[in-house]
Amino acid sequence: MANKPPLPSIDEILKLSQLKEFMRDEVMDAVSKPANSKKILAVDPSIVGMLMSVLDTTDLAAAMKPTGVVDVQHLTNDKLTATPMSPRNVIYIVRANITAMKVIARRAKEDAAAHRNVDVYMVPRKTRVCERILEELRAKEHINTLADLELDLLPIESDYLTMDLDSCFREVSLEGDASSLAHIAKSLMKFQAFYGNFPTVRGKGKHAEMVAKMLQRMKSEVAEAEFRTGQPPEIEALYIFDREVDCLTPMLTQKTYEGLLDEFYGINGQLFKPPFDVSDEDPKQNGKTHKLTSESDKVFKLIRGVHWSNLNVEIKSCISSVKLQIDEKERLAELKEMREYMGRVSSIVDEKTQCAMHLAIAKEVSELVNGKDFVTLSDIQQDMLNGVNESKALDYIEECIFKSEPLPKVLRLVCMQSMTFGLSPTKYSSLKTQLVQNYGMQVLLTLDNLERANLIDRKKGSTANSFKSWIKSQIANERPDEKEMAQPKDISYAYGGWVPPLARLSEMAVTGKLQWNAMEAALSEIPGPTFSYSEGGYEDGPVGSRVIMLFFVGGITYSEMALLRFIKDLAKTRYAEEGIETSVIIATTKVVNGTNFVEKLYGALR
Amino acid sequence: MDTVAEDWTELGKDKNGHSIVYRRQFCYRMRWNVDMGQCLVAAAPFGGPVAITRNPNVLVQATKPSTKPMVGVYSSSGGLISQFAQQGSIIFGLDWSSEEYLITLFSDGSIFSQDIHGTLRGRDNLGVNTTVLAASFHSRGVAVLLADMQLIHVAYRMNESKVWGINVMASVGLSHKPLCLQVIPPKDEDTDISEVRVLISPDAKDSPQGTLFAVDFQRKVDLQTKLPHVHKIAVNPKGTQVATFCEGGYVNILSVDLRQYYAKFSTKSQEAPRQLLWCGNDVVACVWCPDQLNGPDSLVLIIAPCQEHTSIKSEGTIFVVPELDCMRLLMSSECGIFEKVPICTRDTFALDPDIPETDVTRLLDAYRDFTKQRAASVKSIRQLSGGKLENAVDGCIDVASQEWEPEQQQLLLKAAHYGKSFCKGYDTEKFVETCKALRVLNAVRAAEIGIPLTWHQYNYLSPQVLIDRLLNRRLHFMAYKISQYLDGPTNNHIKKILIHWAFEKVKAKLTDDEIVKCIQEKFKDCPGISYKDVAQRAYALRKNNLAIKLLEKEPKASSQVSLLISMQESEMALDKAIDSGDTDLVYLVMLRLKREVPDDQLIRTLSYKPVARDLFLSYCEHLDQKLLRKYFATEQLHHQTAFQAIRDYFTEGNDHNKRARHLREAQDAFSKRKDRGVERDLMIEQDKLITKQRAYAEKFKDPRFTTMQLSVAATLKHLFSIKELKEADKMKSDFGVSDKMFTWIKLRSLSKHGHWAELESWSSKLGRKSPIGFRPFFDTYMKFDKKSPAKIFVTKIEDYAERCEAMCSLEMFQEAIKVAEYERDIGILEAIRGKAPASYKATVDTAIARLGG
Repeated sequence: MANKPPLPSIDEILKLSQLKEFMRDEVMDAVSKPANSKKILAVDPSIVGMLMSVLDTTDLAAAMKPTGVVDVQHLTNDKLTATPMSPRNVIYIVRANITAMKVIARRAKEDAAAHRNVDVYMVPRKTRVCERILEELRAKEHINTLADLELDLLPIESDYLTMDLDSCFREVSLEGDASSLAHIAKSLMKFQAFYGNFPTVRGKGKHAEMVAKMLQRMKSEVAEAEFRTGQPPEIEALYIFDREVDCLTPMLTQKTYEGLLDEFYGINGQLFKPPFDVSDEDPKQNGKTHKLTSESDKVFKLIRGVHWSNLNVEIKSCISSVKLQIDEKERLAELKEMREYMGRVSSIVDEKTQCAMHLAIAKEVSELVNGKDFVTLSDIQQDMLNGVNESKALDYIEECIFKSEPLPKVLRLVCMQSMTFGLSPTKYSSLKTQLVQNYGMQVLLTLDNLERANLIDRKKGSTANSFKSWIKSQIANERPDEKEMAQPKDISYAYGGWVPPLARLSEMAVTGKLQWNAMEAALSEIPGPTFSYSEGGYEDGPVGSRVIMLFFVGGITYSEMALLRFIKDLAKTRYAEEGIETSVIIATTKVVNGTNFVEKLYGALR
Repeated sequence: MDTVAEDWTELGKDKNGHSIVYRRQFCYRMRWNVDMGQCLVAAAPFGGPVAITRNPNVLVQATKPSTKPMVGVYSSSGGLISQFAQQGSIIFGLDWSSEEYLITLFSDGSIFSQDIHGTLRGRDNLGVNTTVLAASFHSRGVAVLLADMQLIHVAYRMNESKVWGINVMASVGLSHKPLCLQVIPPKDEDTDISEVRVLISPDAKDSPQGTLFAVDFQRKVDLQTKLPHVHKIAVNPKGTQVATFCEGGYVNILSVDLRQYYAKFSTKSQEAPRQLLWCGNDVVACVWCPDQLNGPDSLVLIIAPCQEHTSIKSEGTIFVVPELDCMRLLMSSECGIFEKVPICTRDTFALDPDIPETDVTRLLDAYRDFTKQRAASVKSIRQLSGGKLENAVDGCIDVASQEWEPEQQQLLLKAAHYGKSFCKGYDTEKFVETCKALRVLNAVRAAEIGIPLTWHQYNYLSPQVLIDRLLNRRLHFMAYKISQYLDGPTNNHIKKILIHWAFEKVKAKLTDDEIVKCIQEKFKDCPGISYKDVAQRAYALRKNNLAIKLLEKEPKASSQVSLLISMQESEMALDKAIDSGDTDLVYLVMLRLKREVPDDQLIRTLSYKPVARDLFLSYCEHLDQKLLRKYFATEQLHHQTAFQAIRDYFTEGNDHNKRARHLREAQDAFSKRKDRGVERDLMIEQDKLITKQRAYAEKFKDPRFTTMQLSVAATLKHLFSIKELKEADKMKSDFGVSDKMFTWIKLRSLSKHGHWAELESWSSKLGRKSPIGFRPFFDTYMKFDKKSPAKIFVTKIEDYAERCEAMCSLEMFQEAIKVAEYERDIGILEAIRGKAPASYKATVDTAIARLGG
């Protein structure tokens, strides 16, 4: 058995591990108190993934053990599961929102009655209003410590950070609660404390602009001396984009490897548990949770963003490269060479296992994508984008409803229908009736939410028009053929011809193909305000290397991320000629897919 | 220069047998015209301000009847700082607290604390209908003996919010006014105030032999000192020794616990001096005023422990202020300091032949030679070898720091600088710091400012406290310059100074805009400075508009909001919070409004502020649904009322009546809007549905019809699962279920539950007409691997391509080829060739050939 591989490094572009360690220390500090005593940890399930990421573990309980945590529970509406023998200390890690406060208030009272000592940590930070609510619910007096746990913008890979705020889009676009925007701005302030000022902040979209304004304001509030100044900034520019600019893309079915895994099976953070066997030879590999990351999985790094049609080719080329490496052994003569080879053996073995695993997964995936359901769905989506066969699309939606297909799938299609063809009130009414008759009356609440979040336009209106022309302009005239999928030249490959607007905007930002300010005409076609702030005092233009940070408010899909990496590669080649190293850091509130995106907008039943 | 030592007075010898010398330093020619003889005088230590008011016990011819007593506050150089009429009754005594607040005690037991300009900070009453018998002030409090023989201690400045703490001390058990009362203050600033003790010298009627009582908060102790009746007591600055003036004219020096007896000196005066005080920690001074001496002069008798003594005579009344290391002499015409000559100074300038020449003296001589361009200079320097020169430079700096005259300081510092240039690697920090400090000292000692601080006092006080005191005197510019000089252009003290300055500025009689402009001008160089405190000050002065204008400039939204809230400007606070984009702030103001304002008004306010409104709605959705409903009703958001009713419907459990009520509410609400016709109809349908479900539950004895909250489709499915096909048909027509939907549901339900017979009889009745075509039927059978019944549907599939595909999956390749050929579709033929076994290859190829492919 090979030695345990070292923890994957995430410092390729920036020393992101500093930030991660900072957060890790904060977590460990929080759960270590009170020192030398045993405690129960109750965590909001939506935070568990982040905790595991920050601690680099798949077993939270084991990672927490050294701090005296003897029991890790998911915080639910139910009572704390405690026995008379349970420790007298309970640590709660929750989100700072009203729902969580209601749970905490009830729990804290129960704990107080059972003479347990209660500490509450709020992620990413406590808010005054949460404190007030705890006061109003008469629970604050039962809480020993009420503190921040600044788990915000967490580095996941060397080019990717997430805040894991899964309710961001709902809160901001539906409920009008900008709290998460403030969290974003604060986390970006923290980021700047680590990696220097952003000399330029640009972006598109209402909420992106709000974040940028908050950033400006926060900077002005911080006295000069407290901010890291004088040091050259490590980031050339920050671009903030708002999901609201384009909600059509998440509705589409993804076509890249990683995107498909998320669509079909769901990826939890980076963790993926295939619901099928991945190896006939090594049963240990089956039923195991895999960590999907470029940092330790070289094969995955190569294929994660690949269009499914090209998947097998790519994996097979990986396999042959591994084979070549293995065969190398035969030709080794010198001792020195042998020694060098032995040093690589474990990584070659890993790579071989990874190849086998991905091949098995790809087989399952291609069965699904070649199935009739997937093909029909893809065709319908393509028709919608092209604006042809409107009635066929409607018939298909109806059929899905009648066949009781999963509601998210249906809703994604309804949203798409509204965003592309538009839904006339008559058609919408009949769809509504059918939805209610099949999925029950609560669908009305969800539809109302989708309407209010502008995913469905209730009055087939003018608002969609400008966007529609944009859509038209973004569709490649012909669907790219197989050859193009293999060697994509354009960012239209990941969605089979459709260029996600956020990817197009990012392309403008990263490749510098066109100057941002000179782009006004193009930018004005996309809904939402465009903004650009620059801070003086920094040299313009890249010197040696340029790092661009892209922040997506409200989430992006894995396929969009694949495109961003593709854009980075394009820019890298372009600037390499000028001797400039180009890197991109992707940050978002949450990686989403259409299904969980829509599910988050369900009409909540209290 | 050798005349420096001429005025020195010797008062005893030190351990080495050298003279201990004292000097009198002239500070100022007084700028005032005050006769202290008829006044109560209180002077703060550390060169602090002097408060003077008419002594109510001295009769003077009243110029105006019943005028309020006036208090004048002067600097040590006699410059008037402020003058104000005191509001209380007869002033009993006054003194300064350690933070330079003027404490005034009135005969009726009321007590005031005021700043240097007479602004009242706090007032209190120590008793009702009482009079003050005696009082003794110290820097952190005052002990007061009231007529009812209750001893009370008032501690100044407990914390930010409390001006003082009043505590009753142990019972003194006396019946007559004591001869004297003296507080022994806590040892230093850090010692708890509860360690205060009061020494009381009882009247002869209470104690014929005379003794001293020590009283603290717990008990009274008779110290049995065996001293004759004590008339005056003074504690030295260190708090280690006391001096007493006893009957018979004796001054005794004892340890502070009065157990050890150090010295006794006969003043040969029967009358107790007006003042008994310490000059530094070694010598004691008695002050007799002209009215006691029946002459024009005052006399200050200075007594050293070794019985040596000297005296100062002065025309008119003198007031002597005990200082940490000296005493300050306030006279009508001049102000001076009487202090011990520091040893380094003495050794440098002494005329005493017993004192050997020091290195400092040699360096000084060398420097003088240097200025006269004599070669001897370098030679003298050379003699100072082996670290001696460094010591001499250090010494020179030390002596300079003790000097009062700038010329003298300069001479010494130049000498030090000269010597320094011969030292390799001499650390210049001391030199630089001393120069800086002396510049500051000279600046505050100037007559215009009038703070005669000694070097030692300055270091004890710290520059920051000095700056604070300058601020209290409204000497902002001086404070600003000093702070900038000492700590650089933007330190936190500069901010403090600017804010303090602004506090005064808001009082100015200018328009609000002018004031704001003025303050902004000064604040602009100080990023991060807070306008909020200034605005708060303006608000406290009831200049609300000014406060709001100042708040506009405040960079921190939270500061803006918190002050606006306390100004009751909740709506403006809400606007500011919204502008800041800080949701937390908006929430906070909104919750406050919710508490303060009636619901209707709140709703009106919020309806114009979407950001706050949305937060309000999501708050209410979680915690106050009643208010939420009220909002929807007021704002006529009927569809939202309806959605709320739907939510309630789902939380209502299984209570049919309640559910029906919610549905009717939703239906009514939807009816109020033209564009919600479908929703209204759906509510009606839902009502019908639950009624129907209840009927089914009863009819089929199946509670699942009502408990599972089934939709129309689910109800149909359930009917099919229990083979109630007729009821399903009826329901279809009742609920206007479309043919397509019904067919899908029926097909899927019957197959899912294995009701194949029913499925077969139904499908056969369909003939060639199916609302959804026959492909789904075929697929369904294939899904359950029922190939032969599936075959029935193959030919019924309308779309020939689909038909071919279906045929292929049943391996009916021959038929498929036929259809494809008939439809002339080469593409399909090629697809068939891909799927079919090799044996069909030839057939396909011929078919393709026939079609000319």
